Amino acid sequence: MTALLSVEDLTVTTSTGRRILDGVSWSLDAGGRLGVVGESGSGKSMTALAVLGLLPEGMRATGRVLLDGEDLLTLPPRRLAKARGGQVAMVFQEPLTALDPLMTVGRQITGPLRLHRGLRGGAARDEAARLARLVHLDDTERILGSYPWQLSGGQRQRVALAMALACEPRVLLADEPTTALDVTVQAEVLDLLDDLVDRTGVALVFVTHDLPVVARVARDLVVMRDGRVVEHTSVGAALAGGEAAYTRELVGAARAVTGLPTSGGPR
Amino acid sequence: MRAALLRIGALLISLVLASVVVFVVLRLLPGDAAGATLGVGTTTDQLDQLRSELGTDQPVVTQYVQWLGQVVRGDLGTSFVSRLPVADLITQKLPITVPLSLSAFVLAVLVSVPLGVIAAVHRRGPVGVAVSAVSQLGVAVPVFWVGVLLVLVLALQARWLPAGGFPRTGWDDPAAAVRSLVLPVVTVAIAMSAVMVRYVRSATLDVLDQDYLRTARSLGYGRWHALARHGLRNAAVPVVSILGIELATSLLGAVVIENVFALPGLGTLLLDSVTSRDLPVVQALVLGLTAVVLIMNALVDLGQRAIDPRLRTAEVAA
Amino acid sequence: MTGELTTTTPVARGVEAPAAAPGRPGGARSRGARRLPPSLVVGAALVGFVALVGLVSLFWTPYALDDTGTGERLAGPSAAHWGGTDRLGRDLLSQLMTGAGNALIVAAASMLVAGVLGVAVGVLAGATRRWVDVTLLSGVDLLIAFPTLLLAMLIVTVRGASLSSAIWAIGISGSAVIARVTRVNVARVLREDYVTAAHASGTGWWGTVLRHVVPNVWPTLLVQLMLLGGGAVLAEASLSYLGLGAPPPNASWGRLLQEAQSTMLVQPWGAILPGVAIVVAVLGLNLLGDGIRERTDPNLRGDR
Repeated sequence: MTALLSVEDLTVTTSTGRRILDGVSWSLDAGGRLGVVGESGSGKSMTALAVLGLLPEGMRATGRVLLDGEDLLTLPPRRLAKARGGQVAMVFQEPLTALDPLMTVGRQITGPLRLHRGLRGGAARDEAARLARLVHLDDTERILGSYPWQLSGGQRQRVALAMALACEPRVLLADEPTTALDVTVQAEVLDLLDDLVDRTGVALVFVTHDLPVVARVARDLVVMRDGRVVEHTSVGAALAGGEAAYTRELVGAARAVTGLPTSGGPR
Repeated sequence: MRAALLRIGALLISLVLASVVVFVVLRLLPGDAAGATLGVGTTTDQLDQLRSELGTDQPVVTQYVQWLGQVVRGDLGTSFVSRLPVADLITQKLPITVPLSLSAFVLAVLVSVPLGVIAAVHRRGPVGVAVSAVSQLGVAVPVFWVGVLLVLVLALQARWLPAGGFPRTGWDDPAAAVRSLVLPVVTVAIAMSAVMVRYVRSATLDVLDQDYLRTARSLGYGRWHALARHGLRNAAVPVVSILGIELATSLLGAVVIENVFALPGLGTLLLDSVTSRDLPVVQALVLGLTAVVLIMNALVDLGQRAIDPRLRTAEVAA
Repeated sequence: MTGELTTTTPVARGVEAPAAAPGRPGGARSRGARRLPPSLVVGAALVGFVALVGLVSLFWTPYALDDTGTGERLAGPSAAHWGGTDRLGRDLLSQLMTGAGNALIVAAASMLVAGVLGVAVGVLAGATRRWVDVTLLSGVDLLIAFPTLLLAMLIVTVRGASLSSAIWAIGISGSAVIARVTRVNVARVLREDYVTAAHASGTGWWGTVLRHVVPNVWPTLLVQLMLLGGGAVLAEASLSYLGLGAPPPNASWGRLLQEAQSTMLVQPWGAILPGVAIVVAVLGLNLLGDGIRERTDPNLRGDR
């Protein structure tokens, strides 16, 4: 079976010629759950941005990003825009700044519904309410009428999830979606994410520096360091002691701090 | 609502304060108004008579209260020079100054908002760099020189438009009136745009760096579509604050520019009155213009509240 | 561009608002952290040039200002008269040179007035009791809203048109911004832990202010003063253009321009050169301000 999304030899260079990503390759099957771990600066977030073609100004990506056999890197801007949100959506680390402070949550969710699915007026509002319930935003009416800064961190990240899932994408890129949250809220959002992936069948790429977190939601694992892929394996294999010394180092460090299970994968 | 009332209260207080300051400063006139008006060689009797006529023999506080009472009733006093009611003098000039500054303001907004946004989006491109450089230069150019150069090139050499003056028939001949206002309007608008482009550019640059714009792009919005949907409203918050100052600029730019183009508007009236020390006229004009500026600032504050719901909530919480 | 004269005051420039400093190429910060910003170099060069010309004009000009020479009036540039002559046959270049001195005097004096007044009010507001602070600040806010041109007209009505009237008007008007900047920075620095510690360890109040506040505040103040200087040159030019500046024996660029306006179809240089001189001086001071800010403000991002 061919992969749904595969990244092949992805290299990102800055305008000064520095390589931020160097020959990154991995693949994700339909309905798969891939964790991308590494320290800050390892290029894991940049990989997600490169997949969507949203690299900061001045950076250039080479290689291939194949979605269903179609290379996103060479897609004309209009088709790429269609794929963003519609095929591949993303949730960012900081849910406060990722949402427009001057627009109500409801309008921010209905935006992509209108853009990709042509829903407007009452239909869009109903669908937004359904999405809000899907991400367990109870008190739906009030939340849809609120501005992002009137919500808690966890609520904001749920809103971001609802926006990302609005157009039923096939791949969800989650870039450190729980890092900015309190520990208890983190657990809730992780459970929600887990549940959403099960229910909607969206394939997940979960980017984090936090190995225990990735062990909870991911099945496969890509370990990155200094812009390169150190190891591409399953979570279970990594926890049992990966092949690369760096992976073992990460696992050991995480185990020393938290109670990382010896075998992983989604429960 | 409560916040709006508070802001209006603050506005009233600053209006009163400004009037006190203007009133007191002008009463510091060496000699006094009477002496300044009648000039050298007048008898003490004449002076005393004029003083009691003007009320300047009363204590300053009494004078102020009396004057304020008159202003509230719409009586701005009588010009020392022309002996005409100040209110009438000002009303006569409004048909020139108001259209001049308002059109300059609108033109400047229409030019500088798109230019500033384009300069920000293409900040490294040739267009962005050129716009920044030109506006940096433009900020250093005095408004009256722009007027003089436009007169030199477009009026005196090319003879496309009148070099100055306003038709004696006023707005009865709309075409002629408009023709005589074109160059002044363009002059003030150019001057204002240099400042505004820089503001719009910076505000847009700030927005372009925001995460929510990236979120919008990640959901499939194109660059300009995302900017239109999220950026303009967010960039408007700082830009609106400069609009108040800019409207004041256009009004005062008009004051200067009327003298370049020999337009008989408020600016010419003000300059003549300052030169001839026509106290009541100077006082009324300075206060009137200051009041416009203060009122605009208050409106800007309220406008920002309307755009940015966070400002409204902050008020409630405070 | 209208100049600080017609805008209310340069409140926004650099204080809380977007500073549109000329762009530096991305990455230049890391590679050439020690390299001076181009705006600083260009600004210093322009200001230095104007200052040099102004200084020279005190001792020597090609012709005496009242020298009507051979009487060739409204002549274009020639070997004898590089800038041409005015309607009385006087040498334009000599007048422009003297104008540079005049502009610099106005700029320096109003910077001094604004600096002394503004810093005094700002320190007092930022470091004393709350009611003093609130009272002073509302006065400052009112002054910021009060356009420089109107203040100048009030002062001229009272004192008559003179160099010192212009300086007081521009200086007092500018002091509002200086006071605001000082107040913000003083209050911020006084809250810092190391200042509290110094205070607790027995350093007197004025000692604390001198040792800790002044070094923290002066770069910002210098930037504001430079921008103010640019505004002052513009404002003085506008005032003297309107006939409210220094009266005749003083040569002012604004008045030169005004005098040349009626004859500019015959001799356009008389209307062009004073304008160029104003632009050079103001641009120089503005760039110098921007340059100092880029050099001293660690938060300023390189890509702006």
